[in-house]
Amino acid sequence: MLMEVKMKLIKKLINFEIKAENSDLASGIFTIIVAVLAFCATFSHSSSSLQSVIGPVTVPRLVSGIIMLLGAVLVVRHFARRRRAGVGFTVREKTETATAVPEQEKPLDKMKIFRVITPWCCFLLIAIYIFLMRKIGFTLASVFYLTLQIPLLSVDFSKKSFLKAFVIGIIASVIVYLIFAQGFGLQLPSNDWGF
Amino acid sequence: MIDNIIMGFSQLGWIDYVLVLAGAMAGLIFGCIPGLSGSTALTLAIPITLTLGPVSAFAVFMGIFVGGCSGGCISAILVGIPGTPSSLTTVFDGHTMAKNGQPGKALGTAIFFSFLGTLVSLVFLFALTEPIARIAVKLGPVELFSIILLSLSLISVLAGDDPIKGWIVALVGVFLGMVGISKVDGATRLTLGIAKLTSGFNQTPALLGIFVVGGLFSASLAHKSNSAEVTMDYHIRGLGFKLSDLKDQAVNIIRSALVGVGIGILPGIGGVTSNLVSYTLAKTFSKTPEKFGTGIIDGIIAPETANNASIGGAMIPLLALGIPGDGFTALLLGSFELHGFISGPTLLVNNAEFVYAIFAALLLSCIFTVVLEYFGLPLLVKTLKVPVNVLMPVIMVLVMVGCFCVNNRTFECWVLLFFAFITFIFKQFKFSTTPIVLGFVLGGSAETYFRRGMMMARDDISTFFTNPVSCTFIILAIVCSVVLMRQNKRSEAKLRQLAAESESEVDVEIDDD
Repeated sequence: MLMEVKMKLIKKLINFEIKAENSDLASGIFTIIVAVLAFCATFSHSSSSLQSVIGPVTVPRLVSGIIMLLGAVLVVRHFARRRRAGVGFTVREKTETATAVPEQEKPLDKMKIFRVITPWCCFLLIAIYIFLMRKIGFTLASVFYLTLQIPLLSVDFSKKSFLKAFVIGIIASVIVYLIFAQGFGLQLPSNDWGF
Repeated sequence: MIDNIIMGFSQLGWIDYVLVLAGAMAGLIFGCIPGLSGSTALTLAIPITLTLGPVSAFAVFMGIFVGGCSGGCISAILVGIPGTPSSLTTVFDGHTMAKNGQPGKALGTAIFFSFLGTLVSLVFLFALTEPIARIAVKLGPVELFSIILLSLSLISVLAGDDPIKGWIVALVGVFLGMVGISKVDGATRLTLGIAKLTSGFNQTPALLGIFVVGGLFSASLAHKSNSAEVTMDYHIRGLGFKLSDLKDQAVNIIRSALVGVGIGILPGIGGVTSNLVSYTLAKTFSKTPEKFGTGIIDGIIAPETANNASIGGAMIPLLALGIPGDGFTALLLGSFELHGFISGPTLLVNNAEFVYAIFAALLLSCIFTVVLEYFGLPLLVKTLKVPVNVLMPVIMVLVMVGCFCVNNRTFECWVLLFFAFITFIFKQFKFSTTPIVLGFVLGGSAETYFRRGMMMARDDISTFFTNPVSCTFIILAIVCSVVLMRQNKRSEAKLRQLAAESESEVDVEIDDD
């Protein structure tokens, strides 16, 4: 029973899409949140040496204010369009929910899952990669990153795929090390053994 | 003008000739492979060229610029998938012509008119840059602020299908560009107490984050299955086309070249937009519009001339004003700083030899690219088989090298990730991401000019409207926004219609470089 609920929740998350008619509302609210965050950031500043009405954070505050205003415009536009569409809108919504029901019953499309999840995994992987760079050196971190990233993008998680990625990772990392660190003399993050 | 070019050539050593050739080859290969573009090649070249002198580094960049813009037509014609978005409309007639048994003619035409487009735009570049820069040097902060305002309003309206959303992302870019020390009074702001942010977000990792990482994963997922096999006989005999084919093309060629240069000059948009506009215009003014999409030569000449003509166009505001004309030149702007130059109107005054060397390198790239395309075609076609999902992660490693080397610390890698993430989130809400780039690149100077202008006028904001030059630009910004807003909607609808008519499976996406 619990499994079923979980599956349903996952399905909903994967199939979650902002409907075209709600896109203005969603992006408007998102914009306002961004603007509020930006406005809060303007309180972090040091004092100015100049005597002027325009201080170091006046323009940033102005900009975040305009962003907020534009976000509000999007929200207003959403409701204005809705009202203009009038009855036609509700009818379309009804037919949509009617067709949406059998779609839920369909088994999850594997490619679709990956399309939703992959970018998030990639961001996480890159974050780990940057973190590891300082700990175990650029070359080893690159091998680690490539070994996981290539199968992730190929949507192929067999042993063979990881092995192939590992080999590519070693070759690529060594070449990068030889060209940039040795050839061009650039300083890459290194470990105790110097690579 | 000729003297300046000769002076430019005298700045280039023999090694620079080799570097231009290498850049052009790299640009062609990256342009040819769908999902990669000249911008990707440039991001890789930035760290490699850090240890070279500025002239050599820009020799490579110019090669990549011209090569990357030209290479897209090869996969567009032979496989039916544009190698870069700037060859999108070449697919409609180019691929159809190839399927009709004339791949050689299609390729020959595309290559030759890419070359011609670049050449025409370079003439404009050589002629216009200096006069514009001479005028621009005399402008004060009030006028410069208004010019940037005009640039931002143009990009916001033109880059996506919703001008309000365009303005939002442009302003988010402006905000991010203001982080760190203010150039006016030295006060630190918006750093949230992070000491490493004092000097602001470094441009190179930020732009790499917006350009490369954002498109990286979606591109590799989408193009997984397209390691396409080319079975056609793509050999070009002679130029590929006969001179008699060009009987009625004079107007088309001139119009496409001018459209390309003009759109290139407009800030933030380049080949991606100009090939669409040019194709649409060619069809609108044609006596036989119904033939478009059936593989006629007009439909290849129009987009390929225009997208390459945007190269010279985009370089004009970059070199004369320090305002990038498209996505690629936005990346170049950061490189000026990396190599110790101050971009803006003073660049040409203080570093004339350097600018002329760039001119010379562009001319060389133009020639090398066309030679490489005619003789290196088999090799370029082979690169179409490279699996993008393996290539992309390797490129990511190289991007990391580039970010790290900017300041020799991993903080820049985090900046890259931060900008990539922001771009990704905004894309989820269907914002176009090009305005972020322009906003970010220009935001800092816009604020500086604004504050200096206000200080000179003793905090009286009316100075921006009473100054005639500034007032003209502000009115222009408003007029352009309103006019283009309407135009934009119409052309978008037209494009979708075009795509549907030609029955090609091309996703119409105007975003991204």
